[in-house]
Amino acid sequence: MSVITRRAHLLRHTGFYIAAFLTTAFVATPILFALLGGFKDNQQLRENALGLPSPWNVENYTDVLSSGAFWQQTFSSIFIALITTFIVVACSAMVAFVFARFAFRGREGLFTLFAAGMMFPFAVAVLPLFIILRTFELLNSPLGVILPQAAFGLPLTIIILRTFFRSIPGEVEEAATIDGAGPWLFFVRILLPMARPVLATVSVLALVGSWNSFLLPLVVLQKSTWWTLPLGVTQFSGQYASDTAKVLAFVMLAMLPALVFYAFAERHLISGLTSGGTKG
Amino acid sequence: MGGRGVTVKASPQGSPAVGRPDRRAGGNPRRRSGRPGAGVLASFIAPGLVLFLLFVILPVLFAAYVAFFRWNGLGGVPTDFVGLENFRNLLQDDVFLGDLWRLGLIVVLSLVVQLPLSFGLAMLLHQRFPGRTAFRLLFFVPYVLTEAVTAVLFRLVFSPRRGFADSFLANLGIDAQIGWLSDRDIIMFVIFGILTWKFFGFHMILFLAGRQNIPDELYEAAEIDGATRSQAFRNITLPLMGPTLRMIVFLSVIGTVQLFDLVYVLTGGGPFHASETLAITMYEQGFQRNQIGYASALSIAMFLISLVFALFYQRLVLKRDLQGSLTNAGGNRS
Amino acid sequence: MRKPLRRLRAALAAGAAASLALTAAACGDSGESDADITWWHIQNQDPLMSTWQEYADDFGEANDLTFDVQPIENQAFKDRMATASQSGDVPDIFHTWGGGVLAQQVEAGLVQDLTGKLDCIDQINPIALEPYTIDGKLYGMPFDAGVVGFWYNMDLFAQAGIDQPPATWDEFLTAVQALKDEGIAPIALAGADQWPGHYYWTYLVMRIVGLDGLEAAAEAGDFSGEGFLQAGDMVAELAAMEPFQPGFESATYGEADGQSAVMGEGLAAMELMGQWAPQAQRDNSGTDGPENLGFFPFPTVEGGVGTTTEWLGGGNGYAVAADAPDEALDFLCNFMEPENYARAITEGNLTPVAVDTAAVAPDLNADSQKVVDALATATGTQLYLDQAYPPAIGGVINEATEGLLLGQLTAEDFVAMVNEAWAAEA
Repeated sequence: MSVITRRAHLLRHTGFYIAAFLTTAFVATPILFALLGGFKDNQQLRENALGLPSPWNVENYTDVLSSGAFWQQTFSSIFIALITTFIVVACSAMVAFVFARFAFRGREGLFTLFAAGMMFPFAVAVLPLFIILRTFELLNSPLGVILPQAAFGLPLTIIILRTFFRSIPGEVEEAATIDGAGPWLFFVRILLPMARPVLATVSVLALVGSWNSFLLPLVVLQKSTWWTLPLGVTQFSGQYASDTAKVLAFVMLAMLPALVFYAFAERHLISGLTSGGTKG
Repeated sequence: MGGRGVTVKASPQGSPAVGRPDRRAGGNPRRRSGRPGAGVLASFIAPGLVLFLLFVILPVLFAAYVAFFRWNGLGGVPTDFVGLENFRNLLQDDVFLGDLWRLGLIVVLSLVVQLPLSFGLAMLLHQRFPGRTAFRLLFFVPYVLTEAVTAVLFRLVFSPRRGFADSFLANLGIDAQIGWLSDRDIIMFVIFGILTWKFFGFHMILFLAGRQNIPDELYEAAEIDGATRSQAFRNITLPLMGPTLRMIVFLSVIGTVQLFDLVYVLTGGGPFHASETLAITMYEQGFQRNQIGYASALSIAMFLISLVFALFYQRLVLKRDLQGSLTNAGGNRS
Repeated sequence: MRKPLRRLRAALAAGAAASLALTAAACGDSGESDADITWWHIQNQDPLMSTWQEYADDFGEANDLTFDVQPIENQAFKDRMATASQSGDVPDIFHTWGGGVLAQQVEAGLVQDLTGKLDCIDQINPIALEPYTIDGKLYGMPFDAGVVGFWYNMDLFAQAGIDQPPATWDEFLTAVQALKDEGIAPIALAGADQWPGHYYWTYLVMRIVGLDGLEAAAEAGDFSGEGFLQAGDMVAELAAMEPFQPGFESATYGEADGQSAVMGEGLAAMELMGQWAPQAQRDNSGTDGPENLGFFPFPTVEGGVGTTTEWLGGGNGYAVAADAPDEALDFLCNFMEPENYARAITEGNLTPVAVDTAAVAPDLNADSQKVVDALATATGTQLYLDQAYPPAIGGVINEATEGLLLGQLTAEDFVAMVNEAWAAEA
């Protein structure tokens, strides 16, 4: 390796790390502000917004953690996310299976209908949805959040799953048919197990979508019984508006589940987002 | 999934990383396992279809209907038919027109600032350096945080006296009283900054995936031919990244059209509409002022904006890229 | 990488199974709160937040009832009530200021007629019931009533060489300038909340055209009169002096750097606010508030017919949902039990609505006393316009005042917007 390339190498390394660390600072600063701010009291926050807390004050965090509201909201968020995911993945898999493996009249028209659903921004539907949910008496009910969320999750999930189901060789199906399996048996016993990785990917997408959802719960859940974390955080920040440090602690704790989940499901999340799961 | 959430939904189709669907089996459904009856097929489709018709199609049709009425929504059904009045008022509403202008501003800023930034970082992180996986993981973190929660956080970061931003500047010796959230002239740039914080990692990941899909052999061949790095970049990287880029632009625009969570929690659209978005105007009119008819007209306008953009963009720009693009996904192809 | 995935899958499967079982349970009651009585109030600061909770707990225990008590920040409360009204399902007991907002809720059949149902009603001063009386029927029970006026930091005024509170608008502007010259932010304002700003416009209208003029305009739905334009111009003129604390455009009333905290910390010289202001200043700033807090009525305008004994004001009260259990009514009266009411007045510095004030508040604090005196000598009162008028109109007035204060609207724009809102409501 010549001197020149070594120097070029060094330069590139340096440039890389400078850019990477600048970006890291950009990304991490607000989060650190919340994390550390939660350990300060309001006096410290005003006089020392930047530095480390001194003394460290765990009261804000313990206050939030010992409040029933935080746990109730975490539970609601998880509950709503899990059911949404289950419904959207189950319904989509069945629809995608038919679209992928059977020919019938109107199939393409029907599929286009579902696919076109991807172009409906959710905000477009929220007002009429509210009125419809009111008619069905689903307001203030978790189902009022779950069902619309699941419905809006269908298009993408169907498209991803259909692509995957089509990629399974017909021979597999033929073998199953010879063994006397009907479509349901084949779907449940053979297709779904084969699709595990892609199911995990679409599940992660649905979970994340539901977890982050704000506008729909905002209008559907007026009573606090089923409030999710995003609602809880905004309400908390209003109620304790004069207690900045406590709000920061709540914000930090509300971010934590997503961070932990990301740490575990990172590969699925990213592969879901980038490859549409077709890599399996 | 609010706000830019749609980005998640739409990405896989166009993402260049899409593994080629296995044409051998998929595309043509020749081989049938027997001939299942219509009843069996219906039992598969029914739950999804009912859900979809009830909670996706019906609301949109309902909005299109209500948009022609004046209605306060308090019980009953709309009866006061006003024709196109709501739409005419919309076109004379400074707030609505302002929403459109701000939509354009965010889109342009994203194209000019945010995308090049994410692209550059993706190129950087594509190279083999110790620690690059850690950086990649880290840069993606803001994207996984809930928008509403992020907004509460940034409201405190930019809070006038105990916030982080002012203290930071003061520490640098800059004692400028910047009204981060209160100055009508800069509020959109602050919001753009937060959007960048939130989404650059996502775009970076997409770019990275696109870059990784370019075979190394191309670069090796170029090197053998004596091409310089910058030549290789211009002639291989850029053209082959085109599809990714175009898809990201698409996602970015569609996401911006329905921006709500972040801005609503951060500023409520203020000061005096300076940061208002289409979705916030719709929410205020519909849920706070009980102008359900007017807000429905606005919903329909949002829908048309997304639709027209999607169709045009697809026709003009995406056409050559996408195998399974949006309307196309319907299977005109198969 | 395999292990986390498996864990994830297991979690998903377990979660799906568990959650299905739970949905079945949850759907049974369509998510209604399990509590017998749901109560939304806006006392989201201690001491009253805890006191309210305690009253609910005690009453619940004594009557074998469960409560779901929600302390909600003022602005968030209004937003949520609007959506809840739309949903046709309001809490059993909820905060109300009466007026047109309550009237619309009554019209939608959401609110219980309390006429003749409250045993404690004769303990309350009949005048205080007015905002809650619609077509001769009573729909709410007040627990506090007062007026809006300027609360000012006497030390800061003295520092700027202002010996006595301004009595006319011109004097007021002079005082603002004097404070500015001294480097003091003259006025604290929550620009983002809009409603504190609308007091300025309303008061100017009251001073210029008088209460009769305002009433006539509201009846006709026509705010085009000369006086209304003049009021708009005067608000714009005030705003052009930049009298508000830095960053007021995005400030809310109750947050850490909001209007009342700025007053509490002595960073601004005055605020135009209701009877709750002194308590809020202490609560929101976490301080003891300005050492010497004074109160003066909104100044008169030269050539205007209004006088300083006409007040913009209103009170705080509770309404009961149409389908609320009868115990909700008993709970309201429980509030008025002399012991409970006296405690609330002392802790929260409420301005009492009792017929016999001396019985519940023998030793009223100085600030509250000022408000009580003002009410006692008032020759006329006007409910806050954003509550007095139907929500769509009140909302437009709030919004348009923000536009005036930020220099984004002219007085003419303002009038046009409000007239349009009236026309649409008709």
